[in-house]
Amino acid sequence: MNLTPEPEEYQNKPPEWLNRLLSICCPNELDEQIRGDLEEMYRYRRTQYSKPISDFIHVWEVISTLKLRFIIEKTPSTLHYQKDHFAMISNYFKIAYRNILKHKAYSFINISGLAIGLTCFMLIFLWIRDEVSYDSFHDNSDRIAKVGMTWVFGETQIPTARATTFAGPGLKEGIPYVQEFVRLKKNSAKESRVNVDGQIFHESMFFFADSTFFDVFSFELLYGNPDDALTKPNSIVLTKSTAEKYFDNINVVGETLIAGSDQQVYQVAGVVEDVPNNSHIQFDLLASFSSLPEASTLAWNRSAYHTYLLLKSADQMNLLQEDIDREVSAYFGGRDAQPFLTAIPFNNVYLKSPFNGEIIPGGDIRYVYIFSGIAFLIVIIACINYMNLATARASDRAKEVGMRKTLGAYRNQLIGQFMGETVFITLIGLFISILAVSYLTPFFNDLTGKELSLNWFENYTLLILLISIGLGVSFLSGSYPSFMLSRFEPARVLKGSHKASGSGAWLRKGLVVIQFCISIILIVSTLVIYEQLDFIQNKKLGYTKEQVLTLSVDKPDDSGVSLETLKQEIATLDGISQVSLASHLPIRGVGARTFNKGQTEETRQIVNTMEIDEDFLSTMEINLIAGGNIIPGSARGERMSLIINEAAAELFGWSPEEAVDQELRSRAYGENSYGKVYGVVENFNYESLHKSVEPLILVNYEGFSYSSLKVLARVQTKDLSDLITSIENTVSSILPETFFEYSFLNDEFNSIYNSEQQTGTLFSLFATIAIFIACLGLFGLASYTAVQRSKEIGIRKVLGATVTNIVLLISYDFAKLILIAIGISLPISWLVMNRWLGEFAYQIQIGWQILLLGSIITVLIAWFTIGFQSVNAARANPIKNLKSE
Amino acid sequence: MKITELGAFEELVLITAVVLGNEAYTVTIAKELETHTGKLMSISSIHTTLYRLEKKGFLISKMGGATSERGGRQKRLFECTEKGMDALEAAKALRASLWKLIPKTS
Repeated sequence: MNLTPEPEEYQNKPPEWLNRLLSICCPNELDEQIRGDLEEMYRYRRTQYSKPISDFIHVWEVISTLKLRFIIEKTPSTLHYQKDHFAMISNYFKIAYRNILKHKAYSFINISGLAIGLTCFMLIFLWIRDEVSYDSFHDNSDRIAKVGMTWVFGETQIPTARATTFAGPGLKEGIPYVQEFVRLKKNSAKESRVNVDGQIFHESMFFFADSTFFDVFSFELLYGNPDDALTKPNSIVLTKSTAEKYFDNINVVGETLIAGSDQQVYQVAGVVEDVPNNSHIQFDLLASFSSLPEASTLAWNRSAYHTYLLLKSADQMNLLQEDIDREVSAYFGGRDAQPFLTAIPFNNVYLKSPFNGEIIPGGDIRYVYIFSGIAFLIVIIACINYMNLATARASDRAKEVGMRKTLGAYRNQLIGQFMGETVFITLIGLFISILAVSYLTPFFNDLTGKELSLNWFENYTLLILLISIGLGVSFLSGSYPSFMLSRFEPARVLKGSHKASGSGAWLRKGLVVIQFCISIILIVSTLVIYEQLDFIQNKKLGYTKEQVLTLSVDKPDDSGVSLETLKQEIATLDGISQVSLASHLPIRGVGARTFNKGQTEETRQIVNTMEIDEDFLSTMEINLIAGGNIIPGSARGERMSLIINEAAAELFGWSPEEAVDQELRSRAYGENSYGKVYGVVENFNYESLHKSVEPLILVNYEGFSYSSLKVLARVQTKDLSDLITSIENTVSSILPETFFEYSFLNDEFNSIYNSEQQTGTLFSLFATIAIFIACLGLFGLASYTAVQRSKEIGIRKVLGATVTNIVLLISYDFAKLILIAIGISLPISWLVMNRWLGEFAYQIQIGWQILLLGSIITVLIAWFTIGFQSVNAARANPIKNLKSE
Repeated sequence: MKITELGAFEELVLITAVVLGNEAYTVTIAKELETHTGKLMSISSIHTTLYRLEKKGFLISKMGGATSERGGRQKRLFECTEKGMDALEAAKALRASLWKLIPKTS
């Protein structure tokens, strides 16, 4: 009968896991017989059916057996077998459920407060997890270091995220534990033209990378060989979506395309999976480093290469900096103006990079801390609501506690019961908040510019976190009430002499103060952030940023001749009053060149530089304070003429008047190239307002040395769309290959404060939520007090108190708490916000107005919350409250 | 008011218990019923019914011996009471008297 070779014993026994399930569910003696029955029945089934069928029937048998516990325990012959846990627990549930329904308002306050708090918590958690997850998907992420470079000239230090061609190969050779290096260089033009069978695309994420790219990083190649995809010159790797865009196909290895201003033909050697959002290395096209002319030279003069080192083990990260310093000074042999290289761990690049000019703008670790703090504060406010309401209503539950104790409940059981109730309410809140989060993530994504999603299966960490948050919140909010409630002495509470305890009231008041402190700090911070942003956006910059249209153009091969034509053509258009060409927008990041006075090398300084034409000052409406404008086409033998700002004059030790007609020399414009200072301008802000104005030299250099230029046009018209069309036509007739994309200077200006704007929006959102939850709690407490004091109020009214008297009486208690909270929180918020403002070179003073405004908002909101309740209580007919006693 | 104190399934279980005599307990009853009805019986339904009958006083139970085929666990043996026999008789009599009233068709 036994067809399988398994031993008979195994064959005729029910599966072990089912037995275990049974013994977990039915631990008591009753089940001895049931389990015996089940096992015997299983053997009987095995004589009739095959093992799988018997197993199946057995599973069903076990499951249906579980219900027996609830039916049989009531029969006389089994009663003594069971301790009646089940009945007690179901009674707890029943009471919890009834309590929720009976006090709908309190339950609503508790559950909605918790739900809102937890929703914020989860959204912030998603945001933070995304921020800290950057770059962690690389297998080697803990063994990679990024090397940035700092140039030092006198006082000036310019840390940049890019190193020279030397850094990678040089360090690999000099330091034994550097296993591999990768250099990434962004193609120099802002938009690279890519020609695929005659179709033109403009790409901004076009990089060159060393052939080791796929060894160091874990980007997955879909097609092509990771070992040699980037080895040969002029081979290129596309991302999946780029390949699809170009060829409508993703398996495109071997296809060719033409890219760049030099019309180089590249052969596709691989297709890579699209770069994840949480990678700071973003690219669409990746060409081999060997395609670059500078590939084989090791030079120190140009820092344009993002350099990454792969170490042999993660422990060597600590030694790396020391060894790099040694290598660099060995190379320069103690010369004065030597650069130094700084290595930072790869995982710190996104959040903690000290360098300028990373591939994508990084996040900020401080915001990660601040927002995690806010998330916890909001949850704490919600927990405090629960604690306060639960303890305030203690006298409602006192009789129940007395009765349970009389009937033999242990204190531990009561603690368990009240904790259980908290867990119950928290779970409801948690459930609602999970629903809310899944509905709200799209809006939150709009707000933060991220792509977050609540994906349960992908990250079980979230699930674990939620469970622990649920338990944590329950413990935080439930522990005090349950210990307090379970302490009641039955004899006293049942006699009816129980009163809301005094010590509990103190604690409640303290907690309310904490809640409002948190709310006030958030409100004041929001006000300060907005005030500061407003200040920045309306600050006098030294030039007029409104009504300036900007275009980016690549310098054509004829050295600026057609650019001059373009400029003049645009200037003739209706609605354009001034046009100028410049190398940078005066907003973020200008260039930097070295300059020195006359022949003396010691005065060599690295100074921010912008190349301009003679119309720049008038177009941007910048004021000269000494000297005059550059004279166009001045044939005085020098190829460059200069305008400097006040700070630069100071740097070279001149007063503005002295500076005029002085000469400065810059090697960057060729040996022996002198420039005369024609004028000195006011310090206008050409960088982010986080920094104060640094020295700047405006260079008028014939033909411009930069390959990508900006056209700045001052617009005076109502009919913008017509004007833009005619500009576009002009551009395409003169520079047919240019990708036409315009923007307005003030929009560009605002975009650098995006992260502050976002912070402001998020802050105001969370501040609103915090004060809302705090007010929910206050509302609950106020209404409860009103009910408790209804008799007192009745008597006062009978004795002649007016409605106003009573409203004041009730409000006074709470107003006191709010005032204390204001007293505590104003200094704290002042300190905190001053630190934040410290990051701006131009900042507002936190005046008493902001603090006062914050306080008034809080008081008004709180007053409104309490006022409704107290007026209601005060207007009630005293007879109603006094008739029953 | 109930017309009869025994449900249809209860009656079957009770009769089987009487038939099995000293060996009446859940598994034997289930087996017996399966052989006669040809339908799969679940232990839990038999259990429920047995306890219900015990509560009504038609059965009494005692713990019985353990056998190796049930993993050495004790079993609960059931025995029909006088009251149980009376109820069975009554049910049978009622049924018989009703059957007699069915008009004979040719």
